[in-house]
Amino acid sequence: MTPAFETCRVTALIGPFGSGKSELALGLALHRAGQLAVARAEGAPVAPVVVVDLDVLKPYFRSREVGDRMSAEGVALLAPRAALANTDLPIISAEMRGAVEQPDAQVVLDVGGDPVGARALGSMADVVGVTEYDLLLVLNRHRPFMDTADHVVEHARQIVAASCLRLTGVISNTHMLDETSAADVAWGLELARQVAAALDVPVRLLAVPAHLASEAHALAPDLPVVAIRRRMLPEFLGGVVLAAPRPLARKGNQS
Amino acid sequence: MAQRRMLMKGTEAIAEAAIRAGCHHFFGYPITPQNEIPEYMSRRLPQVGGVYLQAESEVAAINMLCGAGAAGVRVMTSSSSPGVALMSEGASYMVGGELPAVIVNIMRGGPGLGDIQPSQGDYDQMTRGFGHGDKHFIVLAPSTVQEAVDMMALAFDLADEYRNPCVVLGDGLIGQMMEPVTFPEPSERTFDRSWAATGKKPGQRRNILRSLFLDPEVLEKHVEKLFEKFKVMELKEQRYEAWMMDDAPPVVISAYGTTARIAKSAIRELRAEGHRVGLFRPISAWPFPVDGLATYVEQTRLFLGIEMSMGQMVEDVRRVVAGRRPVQFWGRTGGMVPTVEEIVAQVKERSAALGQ
Repeated sequence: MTPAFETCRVTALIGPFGSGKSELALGLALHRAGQLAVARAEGAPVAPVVVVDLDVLKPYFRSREVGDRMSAEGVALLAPRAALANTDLPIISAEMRGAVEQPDAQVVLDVGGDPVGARALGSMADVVGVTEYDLLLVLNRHRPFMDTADHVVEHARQIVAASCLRLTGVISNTHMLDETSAADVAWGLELARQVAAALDVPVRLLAVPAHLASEAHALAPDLPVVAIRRRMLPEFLGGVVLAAPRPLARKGNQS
Repeated sequence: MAQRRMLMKGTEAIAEAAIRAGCHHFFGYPITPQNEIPEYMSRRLPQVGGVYLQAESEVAAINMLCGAGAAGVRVMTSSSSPGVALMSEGASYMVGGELPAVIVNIMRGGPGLGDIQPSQGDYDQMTRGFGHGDKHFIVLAPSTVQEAVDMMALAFDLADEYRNPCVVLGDGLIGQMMEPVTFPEPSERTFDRSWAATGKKPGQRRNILRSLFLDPEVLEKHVEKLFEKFKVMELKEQRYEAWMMDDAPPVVISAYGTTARIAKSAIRELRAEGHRVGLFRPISAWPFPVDGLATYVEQTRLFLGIEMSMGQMVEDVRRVVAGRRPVQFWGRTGGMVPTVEEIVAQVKERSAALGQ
């Protein structure tokens, strides 16, 4: 029986640039919302699930772009509001900090990549650090600068230092979008285990693209597995949107 | 050895491909949505013994390109729409001085400061208005991250072959989307650099590179010489993709970059419903693939330009079609990206009006 993926009330995802933190934040929040729905059916109190988009680095494909769809699935998404959502300004609003302080809220913090992105989390360390939290390092071995474990460990230390929090685990998230094979996942998990050992934390989760969900358990019977369905696909690949919030059908400009 | 595939953002992939094409010199100034290019260069270039320098402005950066280009090394800069506009004067100096370099423009919404969302509003800037005087730049427009990778080596080769700056023109989406890529083996081509200003040695002639010619007759001859090169470029460097054109579809969409990709999705849907629609995708925005498009004019009943602009490339389509067929346009601006659904609706509406 594969273990279930459990985290503290507040979970922050950090990692190298482009390691898949935003998609994971959405996927893990939905996973949590699903767990809570089961618990609620058994009489547990209602608890809000919130994704806080703390990404102050990348300009497109941010979790804020799918806020409407997430709320339809029972997950609130907090990000800079209105037109400010479409800027590349380092904005952390009071409600974003407030979500962490709300004692019953289940919070996933989607943090920008590299040490520079983790600084946004560091600015919230005063509120995150006083509650029970998980700080999870997300790794995708198919990304640049992932050649050796030593190099990744050194980079990870810098990211953790910038977050001003204590690392509690590693998430193996090696994928190649739709082209991911089971061999890719196994190859990535190998690196995740080396990095986790060097940083003296456990590998907490094996995240895989949805099409590998059934195969992944066999690769790591000791680990929880969560299948991640991409939610921020470019529109021409069957996904969404870019800017948020996005006015719907307008006429366009013709001649 | 087979190259390992990597998962990269367009901007990162452009930077890595440039380095693998032998570009070890980068000068630039940050602007969204292309900041990962300088960021990546600043990390990678020291590893290969190269030079990364963040200039104090785009004007400074393009003049550093002038210097490095004159020294005969492979050099590039990258910026986004308003930043590229600032480089205009220096780029013209480089054409005048016959200095090779690659300039990457990852377009964002304009005019003015606009926004940071994707756009194709710089087609005119890059193919017409970039730099003063009589000049041209080869402008390559990738439609996928892999194509952008493959284009970088080509851009450097073309810049060296013609001793003229070459532009790679991508919309913000090309820069920001992430796709698996494979890097090609480095090009084997070598280029004569005996013209470069690398220090006069005893017994050698002095190499003087300049765009200043005070004698009008000499300047006219210089411009004519440049235009001999541009004529060769217009003959040899037209690039395009004709997609779903084999059955002579009555409706042809003209689109480039990401918009062409969205149009392909729309055409798949339209064809599934029995509408015959094709795509003409310029890969070189300058020289515009005049000869390629000309072969499709007779068989086509309607051309529909689709762009993330108010209609810029469509003017080149109109120039080729020359009134023989209707050329219509539909586009979005401001960072609004056309949707598959919208393009399908536009084609159906216009086909119906044609009686198709």
